Amino acid sequence: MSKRPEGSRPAGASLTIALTTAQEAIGALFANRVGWAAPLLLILLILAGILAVLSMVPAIAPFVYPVL
Amino acid sequence: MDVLGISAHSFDSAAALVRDGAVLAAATEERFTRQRHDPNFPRFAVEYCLAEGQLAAHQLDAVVFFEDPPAKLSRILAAGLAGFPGSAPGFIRSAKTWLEGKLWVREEISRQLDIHPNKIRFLPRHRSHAAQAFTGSPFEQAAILVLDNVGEWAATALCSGAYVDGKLQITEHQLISYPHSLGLVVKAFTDLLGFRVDEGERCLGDLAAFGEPLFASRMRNVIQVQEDGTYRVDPAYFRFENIDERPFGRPWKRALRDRFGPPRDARRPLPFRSVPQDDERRQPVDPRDKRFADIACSLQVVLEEAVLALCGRLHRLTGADALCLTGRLAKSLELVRRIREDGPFSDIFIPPEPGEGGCAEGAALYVSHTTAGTPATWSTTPFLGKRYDVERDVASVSFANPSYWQRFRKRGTRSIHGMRIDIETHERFEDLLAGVADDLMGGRIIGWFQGRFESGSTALGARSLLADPASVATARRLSTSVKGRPLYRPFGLTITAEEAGRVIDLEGPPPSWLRWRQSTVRARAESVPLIRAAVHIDGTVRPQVVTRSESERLHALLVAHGQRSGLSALLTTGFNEADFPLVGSPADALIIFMRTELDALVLDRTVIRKVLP
Repeated sequence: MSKRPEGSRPAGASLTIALTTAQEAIGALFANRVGWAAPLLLILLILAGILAVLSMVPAIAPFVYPVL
Repeated sequence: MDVLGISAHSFDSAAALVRDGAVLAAATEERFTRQRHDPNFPRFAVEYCLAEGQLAAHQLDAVVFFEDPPAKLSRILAAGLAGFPGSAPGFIRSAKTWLEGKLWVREEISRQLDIHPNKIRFLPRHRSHAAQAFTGSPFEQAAILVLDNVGEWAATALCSGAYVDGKLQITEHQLISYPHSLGLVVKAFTDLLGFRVDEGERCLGDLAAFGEPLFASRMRNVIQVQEDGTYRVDPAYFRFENIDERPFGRPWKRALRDRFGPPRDARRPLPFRSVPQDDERRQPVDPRDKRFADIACSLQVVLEEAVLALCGRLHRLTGADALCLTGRLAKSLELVRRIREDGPFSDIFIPPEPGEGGCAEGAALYVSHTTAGTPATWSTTPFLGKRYDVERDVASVSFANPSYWQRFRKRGTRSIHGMRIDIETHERFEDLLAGVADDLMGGRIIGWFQGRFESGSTALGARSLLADPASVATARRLSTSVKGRPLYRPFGLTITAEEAGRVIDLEGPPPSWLRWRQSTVRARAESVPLIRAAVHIDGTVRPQVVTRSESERLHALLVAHGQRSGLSALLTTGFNEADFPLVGSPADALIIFMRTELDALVLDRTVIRKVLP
């Protein structure tokens, strides 16, 4: 089995990156004095998660991503 | 040290590779995908940069993204909520695109390039701009003015640059934040005047020459210059949150319409002519059309006032003699002229691509020059794009069937039924010059395709359309039957450094803003008959002064043309059709050749001519 070249993407990077980015985004809201928008971002993230799961169900997917 | 810079998800996505402090390759994605101002992840541009550097992605020392997505999201959330409920439709669209992709840039880069996320860095957008302008300049120390539309929060940045212990240092003196953005005001007026946002901004400057500043006092309520030299934009007139997402909503409120009158119907063409013929000169202009030119002129006047005040403030803050100007507004040739003539700085530098496309370069340069230091010598060049092998494409042209291509011809062009294609390949480049110069003198329009393409959106002789500048009829044909652009827009003038003094005031070697066509300049009256088609209604030209060292082949063609016409100058414009990006590959050039009334195409050492029956 070939070894991964050094510096390449480790397995399971997605979840770590998503969490880091979410943390950075909330940090940026506070840094730019709009910390009050943080709950809104969380709601949007949760909604996006629900929509992502729903879009995996074939019967529901067309309503999440309507065919144009 | 190899650093890859990336700009994406905004406008003109691009990639640039910086090796040991010097830019090795840079290109905008639109040149590869043929989508004008392509905002998607620049996968083809990245692929090109890595190939040019002969390395694999995992060998890169760092990858730098040109802006900070979480900080930008904070601005969009705040602006969306501040403008509620009017901002709701735009805001929902924004939230969707951000959560679908724009927020997860680190993930996207890591996945696309298969690299470790720890190697990915983010830089505030104004710093990417500032780094590109300063490191590319010949100055040891300079003031930097970033006139952006808006990045994360900053719309205008007053900075200075210097080298400390051989490493780059950029100091931010003042940031003027959203919604106080001159660039966004220009965008809003672009929409009001019936042009497409992000496309028609250049038309505003050209249109201004036909108007008078009758709306200037009203405009000063919109852009309010402060006593300290900064400015404020009255938010009562605008709905800037609508500009963040395509398709754009109306970026202005009813108050703007009440002040400046109803918007222009985009379908009604404007009657102005950059180089009017005698019968056109006598025709009176409809006052409804004149109003739009007056608004454009007033905007230009007040914009210049605001930028000059900013320059004064920056000069007081930094005490520097030289200015590096960048950001999308730095593409306004008229604005640059005013800063040069009336600003407090003795020297000015603008990078070849001051818009978002250049930010990829800037981001990579910043990281390279702050960590590994600045190389002793390196010079900025606009020719950082891909070089193509033209042989295969030239061979394919000989099989082109005119009857087949007839159905793809641009509307309003002559029929090419029965046309023959004449292909001439020369051993030595010099041998083709005489024939091409004769073509130009005969009123033919030439497509010029040489070497690596320009990394930015200004054609500087790698992908250009050329014609005789004395012939107004040829310029008209170039506007209508090749480019498809309105007649009030002037063309550029390419001229050799040796003869530039006959057309404009120039002593000594040409500065970069003249070499890269970045400012308008008043033409000398005695030269006008030789370059009539390139002189705009206000008596200015848009010159590109060519030196033998920067563009040897174009210089040789200019000299050959000069031997026939008496002046080594040519009318020039970008090699594209309106609404398309400049051509990248030979195939793109050949499609335009077959579709339009382009008479001949020079691809490297080959000349392809149309012979009509």
